Order: sequence, then structure tokens, then C-alpha cells
Amino acid sequence: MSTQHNDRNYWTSLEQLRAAQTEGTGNEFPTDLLTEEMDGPTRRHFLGIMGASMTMAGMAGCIRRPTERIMPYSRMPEDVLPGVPSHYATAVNIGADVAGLLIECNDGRPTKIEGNSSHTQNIGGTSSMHQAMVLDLYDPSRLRAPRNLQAPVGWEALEKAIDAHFKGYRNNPSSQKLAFLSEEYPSPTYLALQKRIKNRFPGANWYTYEAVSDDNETAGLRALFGKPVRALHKPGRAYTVLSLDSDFLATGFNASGNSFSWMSQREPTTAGGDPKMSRLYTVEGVFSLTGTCADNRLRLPSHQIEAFAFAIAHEIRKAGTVSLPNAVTSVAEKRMAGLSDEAKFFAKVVAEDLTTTSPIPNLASGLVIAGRRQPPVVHALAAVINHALAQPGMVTSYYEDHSRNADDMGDMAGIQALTKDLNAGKIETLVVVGGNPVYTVPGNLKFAEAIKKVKTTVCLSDFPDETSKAATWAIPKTHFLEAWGDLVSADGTLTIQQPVIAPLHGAWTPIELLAHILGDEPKPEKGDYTYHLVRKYWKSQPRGQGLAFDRQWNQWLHDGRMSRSIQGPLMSTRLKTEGISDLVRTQSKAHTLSPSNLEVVFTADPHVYDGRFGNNSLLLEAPDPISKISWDNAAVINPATAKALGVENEDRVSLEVGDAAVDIVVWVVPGLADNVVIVSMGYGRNFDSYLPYHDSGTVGFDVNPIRSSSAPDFVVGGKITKGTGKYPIANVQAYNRLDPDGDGPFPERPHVREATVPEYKEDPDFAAKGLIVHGPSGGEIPYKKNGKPYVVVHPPEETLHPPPSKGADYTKGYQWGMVIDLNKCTGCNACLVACMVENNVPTVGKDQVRRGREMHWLRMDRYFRGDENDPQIVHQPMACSQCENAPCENVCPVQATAHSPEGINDMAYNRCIGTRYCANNCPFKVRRFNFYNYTSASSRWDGVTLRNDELVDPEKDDELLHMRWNPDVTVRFRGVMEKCNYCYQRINRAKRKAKMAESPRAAKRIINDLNVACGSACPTGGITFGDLNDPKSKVAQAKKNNRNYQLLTELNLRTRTSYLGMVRNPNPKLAKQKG
Amino acid sequence: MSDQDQKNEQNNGLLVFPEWHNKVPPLFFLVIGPVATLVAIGAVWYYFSPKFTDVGYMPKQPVPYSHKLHAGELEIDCRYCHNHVETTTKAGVPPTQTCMNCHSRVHTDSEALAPVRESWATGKPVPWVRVHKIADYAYFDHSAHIQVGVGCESCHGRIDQMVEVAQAEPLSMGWCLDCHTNPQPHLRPKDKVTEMGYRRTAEDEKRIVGEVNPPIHCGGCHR
Repeated sequence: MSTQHNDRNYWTSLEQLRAAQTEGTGNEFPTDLLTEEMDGPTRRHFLGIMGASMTMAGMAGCIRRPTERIMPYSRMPEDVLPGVPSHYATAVNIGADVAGLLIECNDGRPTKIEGNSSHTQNIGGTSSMHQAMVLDLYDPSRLRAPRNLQAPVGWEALEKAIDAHFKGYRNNPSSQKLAFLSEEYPSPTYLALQKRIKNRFPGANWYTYEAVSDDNETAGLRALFGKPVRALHKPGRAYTVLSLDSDFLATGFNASGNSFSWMSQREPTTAGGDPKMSRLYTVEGVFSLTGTCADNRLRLPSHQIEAFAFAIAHEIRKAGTVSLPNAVTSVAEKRMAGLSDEAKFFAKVVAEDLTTTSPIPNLASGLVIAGRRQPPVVHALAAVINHALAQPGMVTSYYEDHSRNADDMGDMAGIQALTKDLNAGKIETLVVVGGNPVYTVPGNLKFAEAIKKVKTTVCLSDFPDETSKAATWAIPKTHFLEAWGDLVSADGTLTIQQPVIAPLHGAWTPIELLAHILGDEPKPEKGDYTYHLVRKYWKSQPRGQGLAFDRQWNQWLHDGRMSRSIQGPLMSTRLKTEGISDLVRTQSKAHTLSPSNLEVVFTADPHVYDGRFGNNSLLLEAPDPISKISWDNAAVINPATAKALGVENEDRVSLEVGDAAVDIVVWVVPGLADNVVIVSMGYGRNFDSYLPYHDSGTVGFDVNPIRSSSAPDFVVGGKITKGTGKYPIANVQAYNRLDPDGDGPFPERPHVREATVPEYKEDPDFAAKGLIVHGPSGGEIPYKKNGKPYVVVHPPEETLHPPPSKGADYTKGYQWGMVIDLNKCTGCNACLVACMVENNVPTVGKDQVRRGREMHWLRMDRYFRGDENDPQIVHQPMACSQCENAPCENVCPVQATAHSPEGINDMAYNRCIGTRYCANNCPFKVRRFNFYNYTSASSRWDGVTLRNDELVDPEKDDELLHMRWNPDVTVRFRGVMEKCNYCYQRINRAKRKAKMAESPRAAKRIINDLNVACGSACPTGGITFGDLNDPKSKVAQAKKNNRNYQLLTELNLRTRTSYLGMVRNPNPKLAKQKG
Repeated sequence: MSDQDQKNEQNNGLLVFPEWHNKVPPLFFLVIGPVATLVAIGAVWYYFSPKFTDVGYMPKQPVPYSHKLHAGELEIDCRYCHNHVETTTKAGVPPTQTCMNCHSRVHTDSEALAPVRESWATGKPVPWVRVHKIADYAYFDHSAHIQVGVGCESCHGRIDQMVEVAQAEPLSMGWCLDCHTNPQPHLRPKDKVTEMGYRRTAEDEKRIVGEVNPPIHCGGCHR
């Protein structure tokens, strides 16, 4: 038996790798956890309290149960069924990125967000941010009342004041003392109102600002098309995909849609002979999630990627199969001169691949995607190359950009112009329509000081944040779940946003604020102002002209999108080549990086984005997919840079760029380019935060002070100076490890199994080869390890205890199972957050995470492979695998965890007494224990303080936070073990529906549509769930895939969750030594 | 010198307790102790169980609604008011609107109905007191039970004879499992689930759902 594919070495952290190189690891339980006693009661004190509590609890048992009331409706709304969730379609935007969503409401409370699969932009996919947004709705620290100079005022007073204030400008419309600053809101109604404001106040200026800016792409494509245009890619329609510093699968624009498309070509198809699969090259200085999915990855500092793009152009010209504009090719060779030989060779190989006809039929040969951090010229080059390559069309489409009005000057130019005007004292009234510019604007502009020079600031804001604190009038902004509105996505799909709950504390939408400022839009006697405005807008549009507007409107609301989009892709195929010659003319400066001349890259955080989710504990606790840091950001550098700088993990450092500096902490992650520092934006927010179990108020470090508006994406010239002391980081990379090298009792078969396409061709069952094939009586099977015979002694493969509960037979009834395709996992954490929201999983706070007490039922394991300077990463979502022979069940003294006849390892919380034997006996370490009453924010222990705000009332806040709980799942108390159970609330609901279905076929359809929370959140469809006994079900089909394998088969676990081994398709010409 | 005195003499007058005290430890350990323990166990078994604590719970309701009158004498079907019992997990306490369907015409000025009229006028709910309550961690589904033909009466008792509703069964886990392990005796044809005082006939025997397979694993009800 060949073992060549499974003897790769995987490691989870540098410490582990280095230890393995010297003496070997193999500790099942991590030793690097924070284990010192908590502050709080001592053991003796604890026993005393417990004794007293027991006595009192005994007495409480004698008291009659409390009277409970049932409150039926007075008038029952139609179609409301108590206890049955209803679903509404809506959409949300993060910047210009629009996603269609379905909201699940339980008894009028939105509790879960799913993707709307009929929306053309995200095609049912969601990100971790979408999943977590429901928590923001119930966040107790939201702005609850309008404030005038920080003092709460009534809504009527606000309305009067706004009307009175803007009356002055209405009478003097040409006044130049008025300015508007808005975040991106691609809403047709809003943009129409914005146009009306510009007509009404011709002297006023309007700026749109997003911290995570698409300025570069807009500028690059504007040069080619002469108007604002957005590129949308279908990476699944090209054989070779080259990402130039683009994280198009995770934090880039339209990541859900991109992932969905790209994954369609990641199943090695054997149709017509050899296995074939598309190929992804990534060139980047950071380590992005797209980089982890790459087949070949080149580490190249961000500022050199422009040269690399020219190198690609040069090599394409040399190959001569397709032609590029002369303006590009004439300078290409000169521009690529600074590249290393390795990069030049890489470019040659990639260019060759890009221009070679795809071996898979009906695919374009190549696609180049440029990242949003790269300068305009790279975007233009990518477009020119795509134009030359993608002749079959359909791979990249260009759409006119409707997310902003045409005269918008762009993010950085706009905010610079505004700051200049503010500093010059030209502006007396500034209206901030959403966003948090005081925090997000690059530090060189000193916006916080500039805004103080304005006489009146009117600010629409979700939170009492940095900006609304500086404002004269702070107006609460609606959450998207409580507001009417409309959105246009980049491909022109229109969605009406509908509220699923009335505003919890009262709030205005951006549309409403603009209408109040205009003052000529009569407020309806009855009903919602924004509703009235949105309907009025669509009634005036051609598509609303039909007779049955109401019917059409209802159809739009029901579908979550309009059937006709606003536009198709641009059909013109001519690019303005003079545009690109302009761009090419200016040459970027060449730099030589060194430990004293670092490149600092500012990334959009995969969880908190630009800081707008900075108060969302679900997102803050979800570990960063690469660095595995929870509750913080850090200056991330690679091991070689760390060695040269003499710093290590958790060292406090000062990161200087030019005159500005920030104090930050260092974290070492292998795989970055040398002398590159990555810092993610969105942390270090300074506001009245309310984060359960987080005491410090600020999370992480604000890096905006070292960002500059002229180079907001990356800058060369950073310096790291070691500071004093350490800053503790909650990092989940080292513990929970599944002992991947198996130096302990396990044979050497990693939990992630991986092959290249040729290896897969040679041995299609490579993943299953990790399995031990048992003889008829079990026993000893020789197994080779590094050429030496290796013997596994193993009990016969029989169950150790009889099947559960009275003759359960796994061949009958529903048998649930899951398959996770490692090929399709980008590590984006959407499943992790979706699981937390669906199953009422609490967050625990940084201090508890440091003690290894995070509650994630589903965690994202990340394994490095290969050389510590240039490793590859494999992600593996890991939740309870529902072993048929579950080791946890045998050790429970009270049978709180037992097997169901449908193959699920049931966890009965009310039965659990908290011995934690099961967790100790779990080979996957997926069981979680409630060390405290994490679900109640008001029951907190010493050292955790409430935020300093008169509005906070722990009891009431708790009630608010409790509104997000899924009523179908028990909220667990302290002292109880919990774990994944395949969302059995969903299974039970589907089973009930199937039982009541009118026909067996309808019943089957209901069971086929059943999906678990993680599976339905996954943008790539990498998690398949269903009934194993139905041979036609998706999961039964997936189990037949020859890449299918189970984990730890030597323990005879018979896990119901299995994985599909990973297959990469690296270019053999770039073959490196195997790790 | 009497015998007793002699004994005292022998013991140097140190005998403090009379001799019969020697029988106390064996008596205690062999008779009283076990009996007391058994009594205690029995008492806890019975008096701490829902059979004693919950059965018969009959709180006072804000409106003296009589099931005996409505369901018994007037023979209104259970599902007229508890109308989503067949489709959802909850049977549902009816909205005020359901009361007013009739009581806007019948007994329009009855004093007992004042809270109902007030609720109708103000839109505020009538605060009924919950009688049947199972623990929060147990998820009961009415529709699944109705679907296979478990009668209302099986859990709620003779509602048609109750002036004020009282809990008829303990609703404990053991009680649930009694039926879940052996459901057949409690089933009836689906069209007779709301019938009170039902007796199964030979003809019904053929019409009941054959195999119901109620869950007896933890995840069936607890999640």
C-alpha cells in the first residue's frame, strides 16, 4: 500500500513544529493554557457557598411553582402561528457589497439570518458578518434616543430642531456652509434623495467615504471605460485563475458569489480520462484566505505586485498567442526589472498557463483578479489581460456602478477635500449619514480635530460611537432588520429591504433623515415614513407604472428581489487604450525592504471589517482564520522578520510609519512575505462598549493613526521598535489540537489528507488509505511508516456496547450524516458563527478564551504544512462527529449523553451533572463546558465592569440580549456540557413536517431540503448533510466520493461526519520540495 | 440486699442507664431506622413527585371561563378555539377575537366577561394563568401527537367536565415515557382525537395509525 500522500507533516503552530524537530510532541492536552486560579472565591469559600446554596435550593424546592401567564393576542394577525418561525426576504449592504438574505423570525423576533439563494449576487451564501448581524440589532449599547450634546432628547424636539436648523439653508440654498458625509448605501431611493438635496442646496457638497475603499478599482476601470464601472468575476468559468493580492474568496468584493462560482471547478472531474480541476495562483504579501486555497502561491510584498502584473503582460506578449495593447507591452519589460528571479519564473509559468487552452471543456483559459489594495494600474492591467484572454466571454462582466451618484469623487479624495474645508472653517453644518469617520479616517488627516471646528454636526449613528460623541445632534440609526429601504447590487439586482421588527428603541433610516432635511416631503398621517418614501420612489419608476403596483410590490417583497434587474453587463467590448497609457505613464517608486524598512499592509478585518462590527462579540470571539487570534488584532509578521527584529509572540512593540506610531502587539505567522507587517483595521474602538465578559472596553489596537489618505492600503517605511513587556493574546491555535503528527498513541495519519491531481490520478483512494483495513478478526495489520514496517494493534471492529435503545437498527429510518469537503473550505468562519447563532452558543470573553473555555461547537482547525517560511494551509471545520461508537457515552455516569436510533449522539443538558468525563474522553475535543453562566450578561464575576452609562440596566439589557436566543434550543446554564448535535431542532421540525406531508414524495422533499445551520451558511456548499439511508440524498452521494474518509478510524469510532480529502492542482513546473 | 443492689454494688454504682437501654441500638438499626428510611423514601417518592405536587393544580383564571359549559354542554369542538393544535407545536390559547365572535352577541353585558371586553377594546391580552407546564428543556409538539391520534383527553383529562381547568396528569418524564414506550392503548382514529370519554370500538381498532414510533431517545424531546 502506498503511503506517499499521507506522510506529509502538518503542524498547528511554530512552537509545535520546532518542538517536533527536536524531541517530538504528543501531549494530548495542551500545556500552554492559562491555568492559574481565577480571581474570585477560593476553594474553601466556594465550598461554603455551595453548601449554603444546596440547603437553600432544597428549601426552594418546597415552594409551589410560580404562577405563569399566557398572553394571547387580542386580535390575532393573519398567518401568525405561535412557535412556527416565519421567513422574510431582505438584503443588506456592507459597503457596496449587497447580499440577499432570508430572515428567520420566531414570535416576531428575528433570530437567524440565512442567504437568499434566489438573489443573483450572493446566491444563498453568507459571510460570518452576515450571520452575526442579528446580534447587533439587540446590542444594548446601541444609541437608544437622540442626543443633543450627549444629553438624551425626545424625538419631537429633534424633529423640530432639525427642521428649524435646515430652514435657514432652505432659504439660502446656495450657502456653501453645508456639507454631507455619507457611508456607502447603494439604495436607489436614497441616491435619488441625495440628488434632490444637491439640487435643493446647490452650494452644499456631498462626500461618500468608506474606509475599506474600492477607489483603486474604480480609478483603474474608469480609465478604460470612461465611467464608473465595477468588474464582477465568475472564477469558476476559467481554468487558470491568478489573484494579484486579491482576497476574492473571503474579504474581497462579492466574496460569496466568487466562492460559489470558483468551487464549481474544485471537484476533480474524471470525465473523459484523467482527473482535471481548475488552478489558482495567488501572489500576495499577506496571507489571505484566498492564499490558503491557492494551488501555487508566491510571496511577494504588496508594492511589487504592480511589477509582477507587468511581468505577466510581458510573458503573455512573448508567448504571442494573444495580443495586448502596445501601451502596456512596450513598458512591461522595464517595469518588471525589479522582480526577483523566482518571481520572474513564477510569472512566466503563470502566463503560460493563462494563455493555454483549458483542458476542461467550456472554460476560458485564464482570469486575472486584482485586489482592492493594488493601485489603479494593476486593475487596468488585469482588465486588459482578461479582455485578451476571456474571449468566450462570461468570465468577467463589467457593470455600470450604481452604488454612488456619478459625480462622486471617491473615498480618499472626498475625505481629503472635506477635511480641508473643515479645517479652513468653511463649513458650519456637517451632516454625517451613517458611518464612523472620526474613527475610520486615516490618521494623517486628523479628522477628529477637524470635525470640532464645525458649528453643528448632525450624525446618524448606530452606536454612541466616536463620531456621534463629537456630534451636536446624534440620531439613532435603524438596524437593517428594522428598516424599510431598497438596495441595488453590483450586477443591478434590486431588492426592497423590509423590516422584520419595529425599531426597538426608535430610530431613523438614512432615507428618513434626508427627507427631514429636505422638509418638502410630507410625513404620512399613518405608517412608516421610509415605507412611504420608498414606495413613492418605485411608483414613479417605469417598472412601478403598471396597474397592479401593490401586487408587484408584494411580489418584490416575497422574492427578495425584482425579476428585472436595473441593467445588464456592459456590452461594449472596446477598451479605451489611451486610458491605460495614462495610467502606465506614472511609475511607482521601487523599494528595498529590510527589517528597518518594513512594508505595512492595512487589511479589512474578516470579522469586524472597518470597525463597524467592533461591538459584536460573536465576531470578536471567532478566531482570525489565519492567526487564530481571538478578541484582538496584532502586527502580524513572519518568523524570519521576527527573528531579524528580535521580537516574538505577545511582545509589545511600537509600529512607526513616518511621524506617526501606534503601540501594538506582535504575532508571528508563517507564510507572509519577508519584512511585511499586516495590521487589520477595525480594532481599538474607543466608545461606550458593552461586551459581555470583556472588561477593558477597547478590543485590540487602532491602526488608523498610522494610515494615511495618500497610501491607505500599504506603505513602505514602517519600523518596529520593541517595547517593554508582553501583552496577553487569546490565541486558539495550539490547544484543541488533534495531535496531527500522532507521536502519541496514534499512527501517523494526519487528520487532513491531501494530494495533488497527479497523485490523485495515481491513487484515487488516497484519503481512505489512511484507514486501516481490518482482517476478518481484526487484529494486526502491517502498516508502513517511512518505509519501515509499522504495526497497529487493534480490536475487532465490533461495537463495544449493543446498539442503543432497544434494538435500534442503523439500516432503518432516518440516519443522519455529514460530509465536509476540504476542497471547498475557504476557512471563512461563516459556519462557526452560524452555529453560534442557531444553537444559542454564548461568547465567553478574552480571559476565558485564554483558559481554553470558548464555547464554539464548531471550530475551524487550521493546519500548516511544509516549510515554515512558505507553508500551505488547510482548514478543517471540526464539530462533534457523532461517533456510532462514541467514547464519551461510556464514561457518563448519569447517561446524559446517549445515542439516538438515528445515529446522533444526543446531549441532554438537564441531565448533565458536569463531571466533564465525556470531554476528557472525546478524541476530537469538541465538547464544551459552561464554566460560568455565560448566557446571562448580568451574572458576571469580579473584575468585569459595566460600561459607564446611565442607560444601562443589567436586568433590562439581559432581556434585550435574550431576544436573540433561538426558542427551539435550550439556553444552557453553568455546569453543563454541550456540543454539536446536528441541529436536532431542525431535524425534529423537518421530521414533523414530513410526517404531516400529503404524500411520500413531499415528505422526501422536506427531508432533502433539511440543512444544518453550518451547511446552509457555507457560501461554497462544502458541508453536505442529510439522510444516509436514502441512497439518492446529497450526503449519501457525497459519501460515495472516493475522497471520502473518516477520522481516527483506528479507534473504531464510526464517525457520522466524514471528510473529503483535499486535492490541489499545483503546476508541476513550480514543484517545490514536499514538506 | 436485693439483687438489684447487688448488681449496683458489682458495678460500683456506675450504672447510669437502665439495662433495657441495651436494646435500643439494635432496635434502632434493625427496626426503626429501616422503617423511617422507607417512610422517608416513600414520602419523597410520592409527595415530591409531580403526581402530588402538580396534579390537581387549579389556579384562578382572570375570567371564569367554563370548559364544562362550552366544551361539555355546548359541545364546541376543542379546535374552534385551540385552532392550530393540528399544525403547530402549541395548541394556542385563543385570541380575544375568538371569544368576541360569540360574545359580541351573547352575554354582552355579563360582569364576568368584563376583562374580555376590556381586552377587545384596548388590544391588551387577557392574562390567562398557565395550567399545563412542562420544563423549558422539554419540547412538546401538539401537532405530532394529534397527527397520530393521541386524544386531547389522554393528557388533559375530562376537560368537558371541568368548570375550572385543573391539571389531570403529572406531565412528568416518566409519565411521558409510559406512553412513548407503549403508545398503542392511547391511540384513536384521527377524527376522534377531540372526543371526550372515548372508548375504542372494534371498528376503530382497524382505523388507528399502525406504527407510530414515538421517540424514546433524549434528542426526541430535549434539545
